[in-house]
Amino acid sequence: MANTTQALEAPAAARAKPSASLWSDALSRLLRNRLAIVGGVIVLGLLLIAIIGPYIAPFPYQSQDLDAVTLTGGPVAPFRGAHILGTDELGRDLLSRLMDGAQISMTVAMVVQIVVLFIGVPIGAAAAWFGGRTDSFLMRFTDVIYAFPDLLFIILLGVAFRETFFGQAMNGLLLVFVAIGIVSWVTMARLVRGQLLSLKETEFVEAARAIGVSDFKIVTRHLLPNAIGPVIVAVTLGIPSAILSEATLAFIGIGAQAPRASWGSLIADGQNYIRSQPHLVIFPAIAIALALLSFTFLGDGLRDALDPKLKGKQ
Amino acid sequence: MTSVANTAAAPARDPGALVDVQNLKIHFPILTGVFQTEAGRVRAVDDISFEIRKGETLGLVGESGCGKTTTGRALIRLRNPTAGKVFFDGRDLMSLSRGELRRMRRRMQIIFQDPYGSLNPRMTVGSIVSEPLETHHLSSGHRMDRVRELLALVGLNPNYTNRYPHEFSGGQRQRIGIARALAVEPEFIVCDEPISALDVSIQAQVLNLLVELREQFGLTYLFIAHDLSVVRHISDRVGVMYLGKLVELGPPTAIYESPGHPYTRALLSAVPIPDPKAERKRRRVILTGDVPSPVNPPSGCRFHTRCWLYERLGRPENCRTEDPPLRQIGDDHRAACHYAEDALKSDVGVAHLEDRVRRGTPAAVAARHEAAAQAAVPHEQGAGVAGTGE
Repeated sequence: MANTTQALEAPAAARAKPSASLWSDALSRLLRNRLAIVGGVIVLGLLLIAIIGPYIAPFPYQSQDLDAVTLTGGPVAPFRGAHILGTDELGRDLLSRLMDGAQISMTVAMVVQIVVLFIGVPIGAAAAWFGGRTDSFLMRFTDVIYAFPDLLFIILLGVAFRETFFGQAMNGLLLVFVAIGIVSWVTMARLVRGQLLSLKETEFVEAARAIGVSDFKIVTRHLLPNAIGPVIVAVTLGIPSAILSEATLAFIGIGAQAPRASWGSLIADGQNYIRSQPHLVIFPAIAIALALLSFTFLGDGLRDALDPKLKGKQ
Repeated sequence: MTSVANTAAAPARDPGALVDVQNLKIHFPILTGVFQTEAGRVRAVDDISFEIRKGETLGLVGESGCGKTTTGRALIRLRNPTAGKVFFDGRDLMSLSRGELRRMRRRMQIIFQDPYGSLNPRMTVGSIVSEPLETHHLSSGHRMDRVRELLALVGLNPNYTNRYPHEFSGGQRQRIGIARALAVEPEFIVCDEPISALDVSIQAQVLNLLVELREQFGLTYLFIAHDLSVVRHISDRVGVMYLGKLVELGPPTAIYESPGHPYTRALLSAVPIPDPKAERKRRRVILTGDVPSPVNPPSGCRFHTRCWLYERLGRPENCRTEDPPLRQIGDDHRAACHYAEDALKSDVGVAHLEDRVRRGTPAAVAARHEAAAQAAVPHEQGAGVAGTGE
């Protein structure tokens, strides 16, 4: 606000300072949001671990330290010896397995959101753009998917395809990605439809039509740039629920196959030792919570940063 | 080209007309259910005909929902009419090809009511004002100079091209909207309640700007508003709409001093007068009931359900059965009422004006106009529009 007032008061002859572009503006607002920064840094860290994890992990995720297990007669406790976070009952290093799990969770996060974008955005845009019967049909279809219990649908899909090539592909993960994506696009479709519907009626779109701007340019210059903020926010905020869905599925045994383990299946494996060796549950749970929180903080920060109406307000 | 079959039924066409509206109807279907069947239609604009002459400002007033905005949009083909024709400079807008319409868009523009909704928040002022130039390949090479020139023309700092709309006040944003409309050097501008959303002090500034631009570029305006005094101030002729119909059309003196339609009189009688003496003389007609739904308008004259004259005349049958056409009732003065002559004789809505002169006769109007000139000044100051470009 201070910026604007200053420039307005400046003599007309003085070359007004060019306003920052919208995106760099949003970035500077994002950078002022500490919680979002913390979230963003953790997200970047998790991504880094997902990519280079196998190279920096202290042990390969599947290798067993049988000596250590024999010595303790069960899972190795954390903060002692070579295994910083301890091992599971088979002597596999928990830290290394968590780092491998990060790869699965981050892949889920990305792939599911891509599936969501590819299904949700076109369906929502088509419903809004064509209106009428197309709109009714697409939205009723969306309602049907929405009304169906998500988890039940994913489990049914998982069970039905478990033995097929599709179910086995990518160590069983492809099925999980697609299943979660298929139930999650609904919100995106509704969001995009709502955004475009209200934008279609705005006076600046009418003004563009009055000027004679082509339909294509109206969509690309006027509709999409105004809808992209909420879409980015929805994608970011959709990631934690995708991670959570994957963890839930892994917990009940759908998804990553042994010896690979996602955070959810680590918790499932660890629950047998929850009294004697609670670290087997606690550390994966911390990993999940950390990922969910940081994506949520980042998403909230993005929402605040991308809404130009909030600009200048603290 | 202008002469079509239905011209005969309509009043004689003005050869000086820039925009000629003939039997325009715009209905919006109400679609319901899964199969989107038509359950009814909103008759937003129902068979209206009028013309806008080159260089004139036609004011259009009426309650909200009476179809004035829809009419304005149809005149520059932002809405496709259900029936009827709109001629712009002799050419039927509906018959134009895509390319022709695009070229025609250079000649007609629109200024919107909402200074917040009419500018894309993601675009800088520079790109908003240069978009029309780009679209019509104008001023290539020195486009930014032209944008600065346009900003200066509407009274903004030309260096603001890199700013975003939210950095401006309502009045400044409205100026940006005006600069965008002027970019293509149009002849005709639809001003869709351009000052209704602004502060009273800013209203006067923007109105003055519009008047100045009109003088400077010889613009023709359709000025849509619901503020009667603003319309009177700026218009060469005034049209009054009620429920999708044009009920009266004429010069401001006729409309404001000897209106021929009972609805116009009812509207005028509702305007408060900032003069206690005149205010005491004012005779108000309180319209009872709501505006009927445009989905299912009353038969015959649409105003008969709320018309004081209809009651006073003992509920004549033709008001209920026959839709009154817009007909000549005076010099350049048309009204759509079976009993316009009776309305003219009444003093409803104009009782506060000098009542020694007999009402309704052109001579009386002229005499009264002279006398009321002084009385009208403070009234207009009250609306914040005094001393505009005169």
